[in-house]
Amino acid sequence: MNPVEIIRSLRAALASKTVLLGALVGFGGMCLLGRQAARENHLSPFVRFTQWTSPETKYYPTIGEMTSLVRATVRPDQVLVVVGGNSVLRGVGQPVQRIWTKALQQNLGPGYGVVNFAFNGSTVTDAGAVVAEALRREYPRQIYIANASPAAPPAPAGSGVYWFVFWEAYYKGLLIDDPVRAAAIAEHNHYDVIGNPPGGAGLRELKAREWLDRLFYFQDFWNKITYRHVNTVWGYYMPGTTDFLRARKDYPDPEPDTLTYPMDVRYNPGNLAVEMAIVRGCSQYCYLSTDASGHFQMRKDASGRWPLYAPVWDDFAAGIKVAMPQELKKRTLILLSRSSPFYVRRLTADERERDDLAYIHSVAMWKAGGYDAMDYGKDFGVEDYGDRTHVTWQGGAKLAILVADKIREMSKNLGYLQK
Amino acid sequence: MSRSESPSQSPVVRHAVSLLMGVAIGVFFHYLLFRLTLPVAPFIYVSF
Repeated sequence: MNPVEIIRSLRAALASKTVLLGALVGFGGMCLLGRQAARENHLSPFVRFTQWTSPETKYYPTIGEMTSLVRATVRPDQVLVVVGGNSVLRGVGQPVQRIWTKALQQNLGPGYGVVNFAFNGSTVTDAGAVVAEALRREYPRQIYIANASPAAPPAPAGSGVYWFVFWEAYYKGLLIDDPVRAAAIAEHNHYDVIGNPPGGAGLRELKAREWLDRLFYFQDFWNKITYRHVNTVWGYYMPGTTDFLRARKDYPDPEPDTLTYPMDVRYNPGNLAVEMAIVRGCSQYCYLSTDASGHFQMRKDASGRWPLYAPVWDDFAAGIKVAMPQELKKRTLILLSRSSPFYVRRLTADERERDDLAYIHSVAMWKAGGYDAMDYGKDFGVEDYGDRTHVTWQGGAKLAILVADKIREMSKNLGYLQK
Repeated sequence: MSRSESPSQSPVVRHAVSLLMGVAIGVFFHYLLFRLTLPVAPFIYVSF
């Protein structure tokens, strides 16, 4: 029987109007199940996002998944601490049992609830920031933490890989209507999804997807199926042609313990020149600026002082001004992550001075912009790092002490601790 | 095969099968929306 005959047989055997009715019922039912899935915490047990629950394997966590996880794990009477930022705060190189955010939770005690929504390569305004903003009314006592590089302004709608979270929350009406940020987003459209040209189809497609999801909730439902029951999305790292069907929850957190690595693995001599260039770049170049001509953030003058190179810092100040709504800045803690002393001590005296000033100025400018900020790592040892920038769980324990002290101070200043 | 030549079956069964077929189509279309709107370009993490 050829395809035409099959179709004719089906048309004869089935009632077309009933099929249409069934399709509407089926699709509508799926939308309702999607809405239900958005209100459930199916990412349990959760410590952090892994390769299996991130865009690296085409898993795009929804705002519903993340807010539901918060509601399931943090009580309303606790101060909500949302950790965003990149792989450093995600705890790369720290085994899941000893991740720094667990130490942070222990240091803060039961009055606080810590959730780690950091992703590899994400920035200040990415997923964690969006989740905290979406939960601002349910958890008015909240602190958001993210890390950043010196003089690096975040894009107001998040970075290219992770701004799906921002746009989902935007179309679902979960964000503050901030005209200053909206104007900045319109201006920043040149930060398109990686691999797409400026102003290309990537953003338009993303917006269409999130607009449709606002109506049909397909992401929440199928993410739940993918995570809990059967993986329906093959990804670059997924194993085998049939193994990939395993539910994402069945994959273990693969993060190694870099504290056990020998020093020549942590600091591969073959990568020294590249790593030193990156460390110098922390104070040398205009991060994320359209001016990529390699301006120094500051240059030493004849009197031995380090006047700031204004275009870099003005661009930075303008960026942090519009990065998030004014009312959210004061509860935001920006961590400036210093490089491992293994590399910093190999800088020349002038470079070290410039590097130090870049962090000091960046902290001051984040604070002047209405945020709270601190740097860390200057007094950490070589053994506290697993590579140039990621701390081991031992370094993470030190970081957790510093951050806990800062959070308690912020909580006091913000009036969170008053009954 | 014309409509008049369709296999003999009760209207209830015909409509039940039709409804189930329709539901399956609806579910498939919902999955299709999810799958087709996923970004094509993979994010390959190196180090940041």
